[in-house]
Amino acid sequence: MNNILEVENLKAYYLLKTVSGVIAAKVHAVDGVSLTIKSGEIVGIAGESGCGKSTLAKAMYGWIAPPLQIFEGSVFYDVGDKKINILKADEEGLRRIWWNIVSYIPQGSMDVLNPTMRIKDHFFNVIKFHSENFDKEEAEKTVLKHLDELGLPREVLTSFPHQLSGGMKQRVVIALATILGCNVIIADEPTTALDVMVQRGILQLLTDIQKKLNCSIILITHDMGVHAQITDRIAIMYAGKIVEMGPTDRIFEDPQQPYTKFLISSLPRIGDKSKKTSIGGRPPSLIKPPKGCRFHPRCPLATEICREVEPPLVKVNHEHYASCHLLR
Amino acid sequence: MALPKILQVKDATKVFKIGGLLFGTKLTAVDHANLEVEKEKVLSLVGESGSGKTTLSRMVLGLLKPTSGQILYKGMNIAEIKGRELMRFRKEVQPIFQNPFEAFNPYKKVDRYLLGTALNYEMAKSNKDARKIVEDSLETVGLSLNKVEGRYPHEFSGGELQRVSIARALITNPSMLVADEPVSMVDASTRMSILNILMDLKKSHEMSILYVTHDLDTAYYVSDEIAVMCRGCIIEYGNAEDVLTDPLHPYTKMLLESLPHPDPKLRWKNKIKLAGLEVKEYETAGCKFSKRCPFADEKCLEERPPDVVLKDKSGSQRMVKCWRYGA
Repeated sequence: MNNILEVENLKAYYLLKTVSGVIAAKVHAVDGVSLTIKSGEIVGIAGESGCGKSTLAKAMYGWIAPPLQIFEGSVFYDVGDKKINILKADEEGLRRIWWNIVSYIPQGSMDVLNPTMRIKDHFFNVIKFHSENFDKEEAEKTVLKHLDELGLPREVLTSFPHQLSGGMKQRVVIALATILGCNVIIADEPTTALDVMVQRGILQLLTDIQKKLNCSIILITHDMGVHAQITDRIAIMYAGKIVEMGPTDRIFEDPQQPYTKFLISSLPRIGDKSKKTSIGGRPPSLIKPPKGCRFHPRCPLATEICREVEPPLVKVNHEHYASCHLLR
Repeated sequence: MALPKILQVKDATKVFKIGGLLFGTKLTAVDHANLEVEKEKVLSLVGESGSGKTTLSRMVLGLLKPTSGQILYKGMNIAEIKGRELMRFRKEVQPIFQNPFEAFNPYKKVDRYLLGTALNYEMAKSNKDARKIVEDSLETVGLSLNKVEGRYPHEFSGGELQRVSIARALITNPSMLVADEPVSMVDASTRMSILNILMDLKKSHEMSILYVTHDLDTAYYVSDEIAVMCRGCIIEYGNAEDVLTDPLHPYTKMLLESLPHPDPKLRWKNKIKLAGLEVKEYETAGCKFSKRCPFADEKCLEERPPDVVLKDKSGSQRMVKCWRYGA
């Protein structure tokens, strides 16, 4: 399998400026992340809120707007004959890459639909803007075919967003994101505000699309249950860095990093009455991240070296990487 | 010996009118619900979104009046409490809301809420007394007054602020908490600490808790009893351990099956049918779940199923609202 997406040593920071334009603080939201996505795989990115997973998604999509700035690194997309760095693309370049090669389903995307437009016009807008020639009849046929394939009722086309339930809106947004048949879908918390049944339906839809288009999905969520259900590989983020990465079954069976161990062992399960504990403390400030291992202030196993030296990401097993001093 | 009943919901029904001055339709958000909460017990109310669980919890708090039926708190009808009694009721039944950032005014420092609660509910006569009470209740949730004092809501993390709102609820020394999705806004890594606080309160403060959630995993973790709601009806009700390990109603089974198990070996094999338009399901004459139920027949669509009461292995009673189990 070839790599469809290569992220190399990406550093994306938010610059907080004072009124006069002096840089007051730098938020190290994504701090040296490397990640490769193979074609046709579902990769999950997990971590608690504020660990930089949404910023990573934005950077991978090439959607860089102040105060976010890229300091280092590259995001290469494989577009058949060549590789394009999305961070260097101009407006015209982005227009061609977005929705045709990579689609982004942002967090709270049920609210991205324009309340004054019918769903049909949302679809037409996308097709008009991102493809070379637009023919309304042709477009309508494509949209209807797409909806049928995804199992969405045709009536949604003439509805306004407020007439649909949350789960239906989310499914419409996913249908919109995939109408042009992209290679990579970046989905940021697609099921977070939804209940378990609707969540299952959405995940069902995402895997169906993945099979149909044979595309890759980058699924960002803090819910480890969702990761266990549909991902092939998981990357665990903590304070702007990937601390563990590996095949889903390995991560759940044999987590290496103490943070990952906590994430997995603290999940409540039906049939298990044992007392579960949370990790003490709170995630570190990304303006001035702690020296050494970023998890050391909360880690029960931290030693002298953890406070001083940053642990590198080392290979534990085939495709399984983790960064912890205890592993060496 | 049976424990005293703190809360009794008897045939409570709430009908909302939606749309139109003349031609509006009616929606029965809670349909003849019967529940009981005993002292020092946690009852979970679970169901998907739009199943009426929040409406029921708001009626328990006295924020909505039932259209018919009664809700009794220690034998008093909540809808008819007035004057001093109302004050006492508000003291004894305290809410915890889903999103602490919406529950607190962003322009007001949180300690003002805490001290204000102590003074307004006449728990303390002076500021000094109030500070002591606030300090005690913050300690119960693992915080302290000097950590909280002078800070605005946005300066807290979600988990911390939710703990502050639990502390606020504890100031009046309540005997019952109504917690509506208290952990769904909180990060997974701190979620368990909030639930552990609730479970400790049950013992240390002799508290009864009505825990409203759509998350069956956490419901299993905290509750003694569980009631499953579907489109306004309570369709299964019984001991939490029994209901969740051996569900009887097809709806409960489907809810349990749809949980994303944090284990890659237990992935979903089959596909589910998603709910259609919510309002249509509410209007179903028979069982509200019949349109999605794999076992549904003519009778389920037409006739309302009876409340079948069975005996569980553990000896507790279990109510199931389904034609498959009787009559």
